[in-house]
Amino acid sequence: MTLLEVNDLHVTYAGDPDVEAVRGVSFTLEEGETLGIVGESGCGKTTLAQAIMGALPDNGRITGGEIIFDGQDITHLSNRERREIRWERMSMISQSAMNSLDPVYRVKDQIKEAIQEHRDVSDAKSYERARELMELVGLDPDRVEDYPHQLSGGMRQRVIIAMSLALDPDLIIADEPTTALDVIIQEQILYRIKELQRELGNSMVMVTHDISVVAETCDSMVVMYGGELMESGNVDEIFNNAHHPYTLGLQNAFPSVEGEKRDLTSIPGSPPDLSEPLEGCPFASRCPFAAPECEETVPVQEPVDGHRVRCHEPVPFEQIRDRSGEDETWLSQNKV
Amino acid sequence: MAITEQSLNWDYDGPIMEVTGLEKHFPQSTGIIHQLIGGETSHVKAVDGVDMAIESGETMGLVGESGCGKSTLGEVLIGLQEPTGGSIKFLGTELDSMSDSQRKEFRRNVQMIFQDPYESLNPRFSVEQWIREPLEVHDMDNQDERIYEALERAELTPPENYIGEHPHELSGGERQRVSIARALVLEPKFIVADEPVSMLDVSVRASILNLLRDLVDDLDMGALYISHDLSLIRQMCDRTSVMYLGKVVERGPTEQLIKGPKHPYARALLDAVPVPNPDHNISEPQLEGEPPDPVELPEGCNFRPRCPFAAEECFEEPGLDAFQTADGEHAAACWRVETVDNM
Ligand SMILES: Nc1ncnc2c1ncn2[C@@H]1O[C@H](COP(=O)(O)OP(=O)(O)OP(=O)(O)O)[C@@H](O)[C@H]1O
Ligand SMILES: Nc1ncnc2c1ncn2[C@@H]1O[C@H](COP(=O)(O)OP(=O)(O)OP(=O)(O)O)[C@@H](O)[C@H]1O
Ligand SMILES: [Mg+2]
Ligand SMILES: [Mg+2]
Repeated sequence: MTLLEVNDLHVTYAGDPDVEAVRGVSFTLEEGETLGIVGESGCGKTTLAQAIMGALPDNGRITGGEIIFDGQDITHLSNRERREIRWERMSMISQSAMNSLDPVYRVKDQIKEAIQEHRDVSDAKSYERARELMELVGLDPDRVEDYPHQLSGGMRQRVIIAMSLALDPDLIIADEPTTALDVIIQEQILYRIKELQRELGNSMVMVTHDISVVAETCDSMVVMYGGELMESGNVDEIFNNAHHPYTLGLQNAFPSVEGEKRDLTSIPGSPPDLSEPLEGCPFASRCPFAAPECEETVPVQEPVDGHRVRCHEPVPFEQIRDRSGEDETWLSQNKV
Repeated sequence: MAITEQSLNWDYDGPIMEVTGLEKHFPQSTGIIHQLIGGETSHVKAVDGVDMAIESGETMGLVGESGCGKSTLGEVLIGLQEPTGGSIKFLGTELDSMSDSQRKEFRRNVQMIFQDPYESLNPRFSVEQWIREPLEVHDMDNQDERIYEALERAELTPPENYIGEHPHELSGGERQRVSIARALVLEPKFIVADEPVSMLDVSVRASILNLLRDLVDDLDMGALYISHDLSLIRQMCDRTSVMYLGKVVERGPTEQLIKGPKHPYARALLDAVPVPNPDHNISEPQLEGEPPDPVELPEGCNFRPRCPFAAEECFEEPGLDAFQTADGEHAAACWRVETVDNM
């Protein structure tokens, strides 16, 4: 069963100038599955997550497309209708949320508030639930008495996860849930999130810039660049059979402790300015394989069922794959 | 450089940076009552007896969890913090016994590159002002020439396109290059790079790592590279030291350490690094919890309370025992290396 369907979504921030941060993104998420959204800083990941959650900043607006959640079109719900879905049916672990806990309230009061905002539950019941949630995320329940500053960064992040689970949502959107943490705590938290998902059966959207995290925790993935989707599909398929030069560039830029050591490539240049309209492929100006037609249109290819690539494939894909592993390919200014 | 009486010994052929028994203990603020009744001040043992030698042209990796003392060690090495015990030798000369002019020479020759290219630049300074500042502090000649050269070394070319820029006009990668240019402008012989790429996009990380590696080679500097992520350390470092609660628990050639870690802590650090391979699913963590505050350390091996392999013998403190291998010296401070190896 499809839980979430995003069709040709556009999001614009009003300002001087306006910024179109999401530019026609589509994907689906099945029940119980985890979808990874990757891409570099500023490509629109958080905006996309907030749009789904109905939690865009005041100047952000959905300017096109639709979001279907559990069969219901939620694109243009009123704030009140949105609030009913938010947190009860979907919740969000936002980027750097661990610094957003209120320093003057004890953990138990913050969890209690998260529960009582949506459900008519007694203080005693909420307190019980707070302790239960703490255990669920691997914290000592007695620490509900603590203030945020008494907890380490990793513990605060667990509290945030506990709060996102408070109302048993069907969908959890996690925006860079472990980015500021060391590898040991990251592993503990990601493992816990996956364990809980197995127990509770919820679906998840995992936003991250780390493709290794996607490889280890997600079923399917979307690669974004400049507000647009570049490539999407099943995680195994994308890692073993990536077609898009940007996806391949990211993969070759990533270090690994596994296998033989290899030189990493980098992708020179910088992402497009999202306040400008753009024809053609947003990656064209950095793409060593770009051809003139790339500046005009971006066709969608489907090499395997469910694997979508938005690229002209100006040179045969096998060549793109081989050459994208070499640093010279990316450093050369000469376009094919 | 003209060798005068007071100059540091630039012909020294030992390690450029060498520390023995290095300690940095911070007095812990205790309650007033505690002080009134004459209670003893307890200490945070951020660095607790580290021996380390780094050669010119070598990059030493320093890896460990958050709070294990990496930054403190780095800052003590380059004189940003005073050690509370042990010795530091730069070019064979003890820091404590340096004359004023030697100290000045030392300060000019050791530099640090920080983690956050957003916080570490002064927003009101132009690139030129920012890079000129250390030159003025050290009263250097030919400043313009040096600024251009540093920008070129940091691959901010052509320099005239960058000197007038302010931090908000630069990308994250460019800002980190400006930090690197500032650190290099005094032509240091030793640098500490503290998580220099963790705030940067993946697409520019490799270029910054490659730049740092080339600089260490070309300028024959010694370097300490700090990270909690062994996959980044692997790209950068000739040798690596693994740190836990203020102590080095394993050290060896990086590739050898990654292919065959000896200490259970090093194994756990390696196991925790996610790999870009979908056949790998996240596995049950080898370690629970977080390191305790290094105040009252456990008896014997520090790591014992969290170690899945701890045994009776671990109540005694293990030494950093070396075993010689084909690729160089590999050492681990653990009684259980052989037992764990055979498991
Ligand atoms: N409230 C806002 N008003 C105007 N522009 C915004 C606003 N929030 C974000 N943007 C812009 O929208 C674009 C996408 O930002 P977004 O935060 O979604 O990116 P991201 O992929 O999450 O980046 P990161 O990896 O750094 O978190 C950026 O150009 C950003 O500057
Ligand atoms: N000025 C200080 N006063 C008291 N304690 C300190 C001080 N600086 C650091 N510490 C303590 O020393 C220990 C080591 O800290 P340090 O910052 O060196 O760790 P780290 O390995 O660099 O961690 P991270 O990976 O989070 O940067 C920690 O317990 C820290 O709280
Ligand atoms: Mg974001
Ligand atoms: Mg540090």
